[in-house]
Amino acid sequence: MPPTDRVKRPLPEDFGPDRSGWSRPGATSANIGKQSPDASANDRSHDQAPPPGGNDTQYSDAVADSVKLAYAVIRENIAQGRAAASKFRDGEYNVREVPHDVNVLSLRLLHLTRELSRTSFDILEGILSNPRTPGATAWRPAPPHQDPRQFHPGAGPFTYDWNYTGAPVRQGPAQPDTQTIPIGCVFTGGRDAQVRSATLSRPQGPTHLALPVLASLKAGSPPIMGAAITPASGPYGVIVNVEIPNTQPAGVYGGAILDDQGYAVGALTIEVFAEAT
Amino acid sequence: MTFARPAHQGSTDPQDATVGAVLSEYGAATRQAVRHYLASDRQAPFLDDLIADYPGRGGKMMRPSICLANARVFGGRMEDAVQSAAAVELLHNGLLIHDDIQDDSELRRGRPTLHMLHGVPLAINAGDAMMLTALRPLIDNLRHLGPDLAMRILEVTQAMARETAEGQALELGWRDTNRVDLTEADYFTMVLKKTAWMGMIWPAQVGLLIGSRGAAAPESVVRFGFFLGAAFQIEDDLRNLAPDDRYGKELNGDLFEAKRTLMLLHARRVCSDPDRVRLDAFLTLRRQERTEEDVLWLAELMACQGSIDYARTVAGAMAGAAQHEFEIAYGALPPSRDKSFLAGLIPWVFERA
Repeated sequence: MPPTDRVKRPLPEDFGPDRSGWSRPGATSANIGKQSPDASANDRSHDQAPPPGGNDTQYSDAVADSVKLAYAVIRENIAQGRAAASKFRDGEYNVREVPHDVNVLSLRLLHLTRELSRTSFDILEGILSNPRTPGATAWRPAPPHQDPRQFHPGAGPFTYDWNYTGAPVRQGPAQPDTQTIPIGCVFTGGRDAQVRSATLSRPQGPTHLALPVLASLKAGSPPIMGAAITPASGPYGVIVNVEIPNTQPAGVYGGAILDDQGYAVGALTIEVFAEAT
Repeated sequence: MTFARPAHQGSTDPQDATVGAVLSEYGAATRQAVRHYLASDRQAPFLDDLIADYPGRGGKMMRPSICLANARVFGGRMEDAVQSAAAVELLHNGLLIHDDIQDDSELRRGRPTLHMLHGVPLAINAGDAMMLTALRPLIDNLRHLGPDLAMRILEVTQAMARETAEGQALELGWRDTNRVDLTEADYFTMVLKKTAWMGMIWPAQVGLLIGSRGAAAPESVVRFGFFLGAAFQIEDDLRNLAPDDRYGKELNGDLFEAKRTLMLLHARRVCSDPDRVRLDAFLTLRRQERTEEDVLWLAELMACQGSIDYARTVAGAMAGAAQHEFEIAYGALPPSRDKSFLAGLIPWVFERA
């Protein structure tokens, strides 16, 4: 490629390697970038980047923090790799020992691969167009001691107390405490709506929340499916994203928010307005 | 809102000429080997044309060149490593096909992505076939390099495959579960696994093993590859926000995908509470529900909050760290064109067309 064709971006003023971030207190320019005295023989790099110590070089704390973080990441990864290699050698390695989130995500990837191997392309396209991590917001069957029809879409009327004010719908063996979490609601799709009531008790531990169905008391009105619950920030605890189809009849819809054991920990009631004329 | 990029200027830096010349030479050698492995006695309909598409679109050939340069800088011959370089390029292109599907990307190297042209099922099949084809040169290494060295190359390949899958799973999972509480450490972890391992670390390890006939430690180039990959990825993410036809991907595509970039994490961290609420609401939407107006708002938020400048600064810091690690990994090796090329990749990351 001719040099004249190259994209040229002005370099930052201090583009050159700024090694002061890895120098120990008292280091001189002569030994900057060299191996630290306490680095192990097997680890030639300075993963433990000390805070800036020299007065002769100026750079922002943010940059120093980023580099330090990056070194921490690569150090951790290498440590995990060494541990895994050691277990491989000893024949003890078990994929179940990898961190939980990576494990879950890997299982999802395996699931996708399985779909690929079956060349179930229609299924895959569906996953790609509406990706969900199993367990996050997907439908969960009710526990055995509950009537599965209560929450199952299309399996009968949804029997819900519209005056519900915060107590769990059903008593389960692991009750959440009474502390509540704020809920924000986002409506998408072609229809206007508003929140009538929203309550969510703080679960006792980390859990996935699901709102599998928002059902109407009005006979014949189809339920609203696929509401997604995601963590929010600031003053909100979670955000519920409800997609309302254009054809959804006007009316009040409600549904229970379930934890990952299938116990109700909250509820949401919304009113869908009539289509604008 | 878009961000103007600096005007393109011709480079007079001899270091650049070295990088460009090496990429051209090693790219040509790799393409020849790739064509060899893609050649088939009979033309398979709906497959062979698709497999040949992405490799035929060009590409900078950085990854196979890293492999070949490492082989030579550690004392090997190019002909011993060119098959492995072909494996690197084949696997990279196969993964690109699948990445484009998973990201629902529309453009690749300036043209419609394979699944946009032929549909998702055929594109997936082509990607599968290309990745399996990449095994062929690695198997051929058994004859060329002997079973011990070939096995070690397969071992680092297996490790790379695992890291890359984990990285891709992280990025997809974060998006699918709408994780908004990510930290920079999370981002660096994803970059290490998704970008650096396949793009920089693995090619360097393969070349190093071939060049040293298995004597050098593959771990010695991990940090250099990681920091080079981090600088590369951040710059790549920044370019997605800047209009440039030569970039070859859709402008602001990362924002439509709500890709967890350093800019997004920074903007969400420093913005006001109302902006954060709006941003979180934006992130809950599916790609097709995100409007141009929303995306432009987010781009402006990133600019106003200094997230663009911040990411540029961090990319520069990653380049500095890469330079530091280069000296540790390669500093003791004698001067050579290949060593200059590897060092020159660090500034090249910011200047590549």
